[in-house]
Amino acid sequence: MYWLLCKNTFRSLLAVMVIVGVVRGAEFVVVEEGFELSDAQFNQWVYGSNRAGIDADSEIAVAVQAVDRACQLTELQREKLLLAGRGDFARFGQRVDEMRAKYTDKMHDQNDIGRIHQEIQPLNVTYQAGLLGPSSLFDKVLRGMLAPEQLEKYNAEKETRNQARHDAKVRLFVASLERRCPLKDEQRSALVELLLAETRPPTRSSQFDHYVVLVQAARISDEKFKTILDAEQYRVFAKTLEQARAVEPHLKQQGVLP
Amino acid sequence: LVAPKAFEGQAIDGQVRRQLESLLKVELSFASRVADLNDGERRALVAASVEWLDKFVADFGKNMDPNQRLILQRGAQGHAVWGRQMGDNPRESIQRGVAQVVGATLPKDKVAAYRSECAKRDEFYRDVTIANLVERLDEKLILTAEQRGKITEALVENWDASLVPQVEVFMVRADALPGAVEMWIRPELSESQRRVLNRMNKLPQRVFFGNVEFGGEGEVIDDIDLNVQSPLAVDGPPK
Repeated sequence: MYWLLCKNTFRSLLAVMVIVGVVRGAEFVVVEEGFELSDAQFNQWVYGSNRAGIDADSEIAVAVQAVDRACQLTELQREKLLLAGRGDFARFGQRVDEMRAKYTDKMHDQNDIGRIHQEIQPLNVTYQAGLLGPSSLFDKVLRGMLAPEQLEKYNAEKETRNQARHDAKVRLFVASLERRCPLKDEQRSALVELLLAETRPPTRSSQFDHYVVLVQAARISDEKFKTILDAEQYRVFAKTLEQARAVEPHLKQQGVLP
Repeated sequence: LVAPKAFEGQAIDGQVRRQLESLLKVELSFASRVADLNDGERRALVAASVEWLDKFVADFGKNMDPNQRLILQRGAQGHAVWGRQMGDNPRESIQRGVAQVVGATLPKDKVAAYRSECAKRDEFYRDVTIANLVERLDEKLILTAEQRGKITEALVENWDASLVPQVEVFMVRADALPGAVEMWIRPELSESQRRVLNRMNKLPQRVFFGNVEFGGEGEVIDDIDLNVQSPLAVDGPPK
C-alpha cells in the first residue's frame, strides 16, 4: 500500500514515514560482498519492533474473552475457538519462520534490500491486521458454531465497536483538516455531525480507516459542505477531497470501503 | 539522518521560514475568523505576528534538531524520529506566539473571543487524541464498554499534551501506542490484556509534523497576506 501511494506521486506522509522507518529499522551489516539481515532487523520488519515473536496465548485469550462477553459461550465453544486461534497463530508463525530461515543470518546482494523487504512486508500487513480477523480460521469457526441469537449479539457488539472507531476517525479527519483550514467551534461540530450522518464505518478495520472517511467525504454533495464552510475554507477542503480519487482504487482492492 | 554541510546557510533558513509561514497563516486566519477582526485589526495582528516570527525563526533555526532541519528543507510534510527527544512542536510555538500577539494587539472583547475558541479547539484535539488512543487500544485489547469509559475518563483527568504525540500520528503509524499514557490504562485491564499491551509497539516521543494531510501538497488557507503593513505605517497614528 505504501509503495502504491508513492507511485501515485502525491507526497504522502505515509510514504515519508515508511522511508524513515525502513532506513531506521534496517540497520544492515554491509560488508564487501553484500549485506546480512539480522534477526532483530527481521523482527522490526515483521512486527514493527525488534521483539521476537508474539504472545499468542494472551492474544487468543483476549479474543475469546471478548466473544464470551458478547454472547456467553459454552465450554465446548470456548475450546473450539481457542483451538482455532492457536491454529491461526501457528500458521502465521510457520510463515514467519520460513521467511526468517530464508533471509536472516545469510549474505545477500546489496541491491536486493528493497526486494527482500517487499517480500517480507505482507507478513507485517497480516500481523498489523490481526491474525484472528475475517479471513482467519478463528472467525470461520466462530461464525459456524454460534447459535443465531449468539451471532446476533456478537454482531451487535462488533457494530458498536466499529461505530466508536469510525466516530474517532471522523473526528481525526476534521482535526487534520484544521491544520490547514481553521474552523470555528460551531463549524467543527457541524462538520463532524455531517460526516457522521453521511459516512459509514469501513467493512473491516485497517490502517486505512481515516482514508475510508476521506473517500466517503468526497462523495457527499458540495452544497452540504458549503453551508458550513466559507469560500476560502471550502477551497482548501476541496483540495483535500481530490486526494480521494488517488486512494479509492486501493481501498476498493483492500475491500474496506462500505 | 544527518544534515550534510551543503544544506547549511541562508537557503536553509529560507525554506524553513516558508514552512513556518504556512503554520502562521493558518493561525492568523483562525484568529481573524474567531475574533471577527476588522481590516485594521487584522493588519495590525499580521504585522505584529510577522515581527514575532522574524525573531522566532532566528532562534528556531539555531536550535533545530539537524534531522528536523533536513526534512523541512526537503519539503517533506512530516518528520518523525523514534528514540530521540524532539524539540518544541513549531505549530504549538506559533500558536503561543500568536496568542501573545493577540493579547498585546487586539481589544479585550476580541482577545476574549479568541481565547475562548482556542480553549474549545484544545479540548477538541484532546478528545480526538484520547478517542483515537482508546481505539488503538481497543483494536488489540478488545475493551469492554466499561473499560473504554474508565480509560477515557482517566486520560481526560490526567491529560498532559506533552506526553502524547500530535493527532497526525494516528493517521500514519497504525501499529504504535504512545507509551507515556500506559500508567492510566494498565490498571483497567485484565491480565491477558496487559500481556498483549506489553507487546504493542510504543511511541516514546512526540513527533514533529508540518502541514500534514492525506498526501496533499501542504496547501493551507490563503486569506492572510503576510506582507501587509501595520495600520500605523499605512494610516499613521490615530488622530
